[in-house]
Amino acid sequence: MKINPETLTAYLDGELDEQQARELRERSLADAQLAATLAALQIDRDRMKQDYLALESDAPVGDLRSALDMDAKPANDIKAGGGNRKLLMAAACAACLAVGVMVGSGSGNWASSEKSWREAVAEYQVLYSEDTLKWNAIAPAEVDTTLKHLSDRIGVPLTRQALKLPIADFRRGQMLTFGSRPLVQLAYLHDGVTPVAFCITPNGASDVGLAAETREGLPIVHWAKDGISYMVIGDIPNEQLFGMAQALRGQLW
Amino acid sequence: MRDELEQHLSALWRFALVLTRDADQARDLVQATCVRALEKAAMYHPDTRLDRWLMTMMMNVWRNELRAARVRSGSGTVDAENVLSFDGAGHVETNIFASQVLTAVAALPEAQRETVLLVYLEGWTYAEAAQALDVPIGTVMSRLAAARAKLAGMNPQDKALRKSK
Repeated sequence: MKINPETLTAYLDGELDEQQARELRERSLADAQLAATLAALQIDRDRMKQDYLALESDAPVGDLRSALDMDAKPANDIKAGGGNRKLLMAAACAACLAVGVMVGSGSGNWASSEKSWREAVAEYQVLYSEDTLKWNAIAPAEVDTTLKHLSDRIGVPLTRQALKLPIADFRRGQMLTFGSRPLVQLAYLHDGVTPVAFCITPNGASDVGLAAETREGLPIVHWAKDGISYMVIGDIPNEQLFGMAQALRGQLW
Repeated sequence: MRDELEQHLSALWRFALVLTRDADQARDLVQATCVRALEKAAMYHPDTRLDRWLMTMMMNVWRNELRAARVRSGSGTVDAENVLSFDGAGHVETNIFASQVLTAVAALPEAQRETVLLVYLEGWTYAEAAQALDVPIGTVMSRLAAARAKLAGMNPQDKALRKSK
């Protein structure tokens, strides 16, 4: 039998067959250098395993269970939360990608949730076109009732006045879910042609001022206050999107 | 399948944490794996251990989709087989592992880390690891030999060892 680092490792791991193991054991008894090499290759596998299993105590089981609940729902129950399972998969992958390339990002669970919900919204928003909203607006008589319903679900007072914007028409509002949490989507048609969404989710995020980013090629301005996260997203110039975000933030509070 | 998955969330989390070395990415990788498992539930054979089926699936998701996405995004990765040194240390999220030995595992090149994860941390045999990683058993042996030398705090004296037959 040829003795090399691989066979020594396999011996220590109990992976050699009985005859090879006996041969190596006998040679190590007669060869002090071989015995010393084997001793130097020793690692404490039990301790390693113990430390590894202990990682479970930090597992974000609640968050993972919530995500699993959402993933396991029938597709029509989550059609607006992320499209379908493939979209959810893409959202999860994209969120992972976003974290992977972000420098100095936090590691808290809410931070990850923050990134994921904005990614899911972006995945959904990219499917919107002018036609989506042009012929699909909420009836004027139903606006107040709809806003009242949405307000009650997320604890944010949504009124016609608070949502009014100078160059974007409010077209409709709908209740979605993300990670078992309610997510309100308020859809606008900017300048009569470009769909823009104002989305709100109470996810316990820490307060954050207005910040810009791009996801799925769409500019986003987002902020968080009192545990509620907000974002506006749409394919319009950054300064106009920023203006919309500023106006909505000021009018809501 | 949903209920069975729930029973393995903690185990999948620890596995993902060693694989990704980042708590946020681990969380997202577990979710991506659950989505994939729900999609592929019909392909699961009851004679197979579910945790191992899921972990193999997780490694494939990590390699094929998430890591590839990093490359596509321009951040890039180094081919694991070409990395011979402790290349990983710079990418390890600080303080993620309180354990010194797990920090050493996290600093291993990716191919060695995956193999150590399966064999030393999860207790798979060489043959099982080779099958999951889709590599010859000799590759598993060479990865573990290189990893063990580092984890044991020594450098293998390959030339001297290879001469003694």
